[in-house]
Amino acid sequence: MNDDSTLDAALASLTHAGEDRGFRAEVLRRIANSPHARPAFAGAVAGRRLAFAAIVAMLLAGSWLAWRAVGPTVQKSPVNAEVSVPEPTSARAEPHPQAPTSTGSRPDTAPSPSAKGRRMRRASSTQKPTETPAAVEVASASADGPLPFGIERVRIEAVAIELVSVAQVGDDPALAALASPQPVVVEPVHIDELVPGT
Amino acid sequence: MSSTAQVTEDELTERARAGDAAAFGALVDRHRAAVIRAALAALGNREDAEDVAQEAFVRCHRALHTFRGASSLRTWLVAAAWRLALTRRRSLGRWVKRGVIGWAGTDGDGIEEPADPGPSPEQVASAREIRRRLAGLVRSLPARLRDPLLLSASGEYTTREIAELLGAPEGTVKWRVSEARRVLREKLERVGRSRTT
Repeated sequence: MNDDSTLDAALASLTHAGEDRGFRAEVLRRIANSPHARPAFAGAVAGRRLAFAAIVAMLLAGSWLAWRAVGPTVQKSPVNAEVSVPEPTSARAEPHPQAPTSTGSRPDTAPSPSAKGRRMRRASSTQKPTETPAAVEVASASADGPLPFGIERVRIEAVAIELVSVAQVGDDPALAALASPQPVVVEPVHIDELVPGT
Repeated sequence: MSSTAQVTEDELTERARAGDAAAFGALVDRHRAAVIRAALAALGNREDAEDVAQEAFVRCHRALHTFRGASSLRTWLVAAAWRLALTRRRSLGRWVKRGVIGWAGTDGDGIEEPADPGPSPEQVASAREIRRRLAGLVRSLPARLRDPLLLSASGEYTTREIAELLGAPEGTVKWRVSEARRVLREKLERVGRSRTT
């Protein structure tokens, strides 16, 4: 073991491949017995993959559509009721009496185009906003003005995503792993929390 | 086998892809040594290495329709065997840590005797003893040195192929092989001194 050739030969012997001893026959036997080689099994695997892909696609599409929801149906959302406050005409003008005291939803009648409303999140039923007219102006300008980075102003509501139920998946352990005992609730994030200073 | 002995590898691959078992068997014969040696370098145990090598061939046969020839079929097969062997090694390592089994091949069992016609019984015993001790010393090397050393010493793969298998630059592989030899030589010298004293 004093020279490299001796060491190399000894090392090479550690990974010597040896004789065939039916290696090829064993490989071919495994291939023949592989369940993947059977058409029925391949069809079942393809079906399961297709079903899984369909479930995932439905979940993704449902959540995406919910987050993209805009318009009258969102304005009627009971989760995040909004109040519309007309802009005061001067800094000393009193706020509209309906605005701070209103606890209901936005009225169904659409506001006039000239009236600049501001959107304000209702934190709780007992907490009322105490804002000065100047603060109302600042909030109005920032809430209705353009948002940076091309952010689009979209109203969102809480989304409950019903995952696959155990009854639907039956005895399939692969699909059963996807089932959740409780629906997943995605809480919305208000735009006021995203844009500082509003 | 005579029908597949002269055909090119691409042709064999095409025929195997079309379901020709004999063609795939010919590919197995051609690349068996390279695949087994990679598995053996990772696992150090012939039984596990052959099992992993067979599994690599089976999986590659199953995925043969995805093989586009970006690398050679041999590289593809060896890479598959190497990944499977590393997975097996991690699994075996957990059992070793739990004390359920000893490290495979530590005592040199399962090491194939290379064909060497005509040695005397003393020479055979001496060579077996050297290999047994060497196997133990090689196993004591860290995997980052042991893997490139065994792959390189097998003479089956180029430095570039080893680098691709290990996911390391070629220069790093060369250094690791050199460092592994140095460490191994030091260990051998210590063993020799301890035997003479």
